[in-house]
Amino acid sequence: MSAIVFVILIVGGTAALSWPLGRYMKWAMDPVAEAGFRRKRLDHYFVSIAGSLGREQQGWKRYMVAMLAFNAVMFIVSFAFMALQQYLPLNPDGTGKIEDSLIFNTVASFTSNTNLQHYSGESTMSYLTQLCSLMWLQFVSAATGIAALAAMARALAGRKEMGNFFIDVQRAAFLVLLPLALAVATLMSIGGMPMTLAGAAHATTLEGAEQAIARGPVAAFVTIKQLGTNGGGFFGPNCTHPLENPTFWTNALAMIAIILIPMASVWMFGRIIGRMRHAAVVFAVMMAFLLVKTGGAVWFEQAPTKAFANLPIEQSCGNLEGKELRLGATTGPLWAVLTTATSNGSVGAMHDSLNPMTGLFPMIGMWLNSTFGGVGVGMINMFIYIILAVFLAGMMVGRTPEYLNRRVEAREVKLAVLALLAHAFFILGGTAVFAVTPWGTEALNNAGAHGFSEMLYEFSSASANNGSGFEGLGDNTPAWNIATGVVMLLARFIPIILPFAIAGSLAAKRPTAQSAGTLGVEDGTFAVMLTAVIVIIGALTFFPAAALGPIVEHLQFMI
Amino acid sequence: MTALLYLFLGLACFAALVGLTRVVAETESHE
Repeated sequence: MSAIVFVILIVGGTAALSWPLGRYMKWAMDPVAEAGFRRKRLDHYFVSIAGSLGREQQGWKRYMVAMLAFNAVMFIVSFAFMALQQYLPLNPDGTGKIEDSLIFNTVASFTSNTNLQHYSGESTMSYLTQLCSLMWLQFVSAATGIAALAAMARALAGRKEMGNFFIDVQRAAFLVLLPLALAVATLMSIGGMPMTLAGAAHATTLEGAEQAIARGPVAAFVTIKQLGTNGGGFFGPNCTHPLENPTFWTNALAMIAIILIPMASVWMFGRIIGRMRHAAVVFAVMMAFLLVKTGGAVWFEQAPTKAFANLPIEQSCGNLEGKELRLGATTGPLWAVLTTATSNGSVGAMHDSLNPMTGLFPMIGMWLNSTFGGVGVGMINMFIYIILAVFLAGMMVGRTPEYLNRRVEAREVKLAVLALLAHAFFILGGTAVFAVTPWGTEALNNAGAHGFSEMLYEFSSASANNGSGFEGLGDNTPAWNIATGVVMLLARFIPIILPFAIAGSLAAKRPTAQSAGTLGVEDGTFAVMLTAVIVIIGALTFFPAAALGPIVEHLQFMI
Repeated sequence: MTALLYLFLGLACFAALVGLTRVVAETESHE
């Protein structure tokens, strides 16, 4: 009973908070022409900072090229910081050179908002690297997602120009992420999270041994990792480390921070296109998926782990292996679902220790990647499913498919299908290659179905820009670093480029008049259609892989 | 030296993405 109340408070409370935040995000990202003097002055500053780059209005192609160029420059700068960290200041613990393929993987990971970590931050990264490379990317990669959604919504609202990327990314960083991060980081710091530039603390244990306790600017880092659906931990164990998640309250606050902006992004989208009822339908569909995944994960995790079968261990609380006992049994599966539903990737329990069917729900979150998805990009991913739902519904009733008074034709559907296929290709293709080569098999700590799940999870995490790890995988090898690094970069931007092309294409079309034959996108029928499309496409694409991993492992335990 | 190769690998990914954008834009002008 307490588990249900806890889930309702976290998910329902955040949904309530997302409404005013969505309103604020519309004000920040898409000010109306009659905006007040102060709001206009803020944009004036942003134009001044961007210089000539910020003055032009961009169509979808120029917007995409600007976004890619900006991220490529961020990639180069962060790469340089990381490659040279041993010569740079703010390195009180003297962390040394980072292996080259790990630098590539880490920079690709943080540039793409994934934060897949094949290292332990406290022993591999200097404070300068953590702050000026990784945390910087946590801000700008999240801002890129919010900017992209705002621009796509403008196109769908019928505007010929999408805005300017260099202005949008500043609006998202300075007006949305920075104020929220300041407020939440202060609360995290009050909650006991360290915030210092001093090196590791040294203590003498009861046995008389010397112990170095790593610390640093943890509160600032952890806050933006949650708000920006980044997920990269300051410490190797992520939010299972007591200094990265000190109390029940910081745990609850972190979970709220994980889903807050993805939820608010849907409301911002609705306000920009001027269709709040449509946004409510999309929000309801996303929420339904989230609740089903949460319910399933919490339910399956109530069963004791088979790893302790026949051992004299009390398991009446469910599977407690890999859990923080001070935070309770429910928080593990709930966190696992929230962090994968949103492409966040921080972990509050050991995912490798989840019961097999519980472990399936985080994977489903990453496969769908749109309920609620990453900041900004979750709604962009859902837009792909919306286009397919509109198309299929139109075909079923024999009408020309329309979305927001624009005809959806063959080109838009081809691009939407390509975006979905790219995601599936990166996950299933990558897993297939590594499952039959020493690159994958020699990195496994578990054989059989569980080992397959570990590889499937790793590529799902990389392609969904999630970043969480199933663990149990020796993944800091050149093969894993290169493969997942390339997947993260391509899988980050392809699902932005193709929906942008669709939105640009729709914006260029003449609006059609609404008639009795037009499929409504603001009612329950559309919600059911959208849900069915997501379930059918998701099931058809990923069920065979799920059957080889978590499902067969579950059945093995039943024999 | 190896680090530079990895840097170029990352930049090649970005170049491929710009190429994809151009190809998709081309299909727009053909239709």
